[in-house]
Amino acid sequence: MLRGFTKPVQDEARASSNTTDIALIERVVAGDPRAFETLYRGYFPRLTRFLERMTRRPALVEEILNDTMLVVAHNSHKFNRASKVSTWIFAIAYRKALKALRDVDDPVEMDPAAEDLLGRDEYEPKDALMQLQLRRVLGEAVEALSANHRAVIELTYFQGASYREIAQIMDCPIETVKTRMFHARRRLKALLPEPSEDLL
Amino acid sequence: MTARIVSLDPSHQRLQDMLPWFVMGTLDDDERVLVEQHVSGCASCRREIVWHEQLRDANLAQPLERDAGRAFAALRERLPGRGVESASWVANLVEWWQSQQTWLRWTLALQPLAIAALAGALLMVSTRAMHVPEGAFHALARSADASARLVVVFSPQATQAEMRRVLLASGARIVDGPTAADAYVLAVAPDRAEQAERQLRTEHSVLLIQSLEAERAH
Repeated sequence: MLRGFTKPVQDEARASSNTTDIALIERVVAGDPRAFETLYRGYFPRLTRFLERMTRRPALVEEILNDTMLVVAHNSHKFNRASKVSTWIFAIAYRKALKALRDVDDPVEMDPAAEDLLGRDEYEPKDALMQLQLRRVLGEAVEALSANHRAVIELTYFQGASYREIAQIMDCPIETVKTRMFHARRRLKALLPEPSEDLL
Repeated sequence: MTARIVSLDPSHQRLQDMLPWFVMGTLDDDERVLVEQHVSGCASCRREIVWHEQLRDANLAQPLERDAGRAFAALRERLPGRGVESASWVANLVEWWQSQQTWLRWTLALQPLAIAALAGALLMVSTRAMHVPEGAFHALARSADASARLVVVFSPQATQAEMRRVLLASGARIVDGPTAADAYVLAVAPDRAEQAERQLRTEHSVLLIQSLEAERAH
């Protein structure tokens, strides 16, 4: 769990994790099936979480995940270390998820119906919300975002990716990542109470 | 609805856009210092930081519990053929063999022959020693050969306690293994073989199960 680490410790942990991943990829290239299984099991929790959040379709998650890891198995020799292993694998998962959503006609960009939903009274600011209610409402609000907005939220807050890594994963300019975050944040912001000045 | 609000202070807007990653500690050091300097004099950005921390800590709903072993077993069938793995393994072995000294190669090559000769001699001696005239005694229990045999592969995550539970539930016992492929050979009473196989197939910790009875019948 990276959260709560000081910045140097986070950096060290990430560097160490990437070194381990690179060693595993090298063994996969050499034909070591155990290395591939270790890599698979290491990424399984993070990828299932990311894919569940992004697709909102639990039944598709394992299929997309296995499609992703199959590409990793076939293309491990093409990994060129230009990015971290995690960025490379999440980029494949993101593309597979987009394809799966298109195959089932699930819009990748903002759904107009979701815009309406977010505009309804029940999604107005609720200063007195209890934490659990807040979490539930936030969860519903995040689900109402587009797949691309959900991906930015998930990768930023729950996968600990930098905006540069997110731009690599989503294969888009850095400014697009920031703009998607800006719009996602604006839609979600109405749900969280403004902190009072005495908290600051 | 989708237009961005244009701030009169471009550096404020630029730095405010970085706050999600500032809160997560994923900015570069240079960017982090810039944001820290700005935030110390900007109440609006300090409020934003509290908001981002709330969102980070909400963590939303936890994903479903999933079985990585079962999912991996489904993928294993789609992985590149074992021939590729074998080729790589054989190639490594050949490379290692060629790198050895000539005398060492001869020694290694003769070693299995010597072991085989010793094993053959031992087998002849023990066969003579074990020979008993027919009808001299009766077995008190069914011989091991009468048991049905099953080959199973347990999940790498299966604990010893879990394997024990599975074996007790199926009425089978381990008679060989683990093999190089981490497989175990189980023996089970012939009249319980089908039931045991069905039981084993329901266990999440069992990745593969194969009866050897068809092979024995031929």
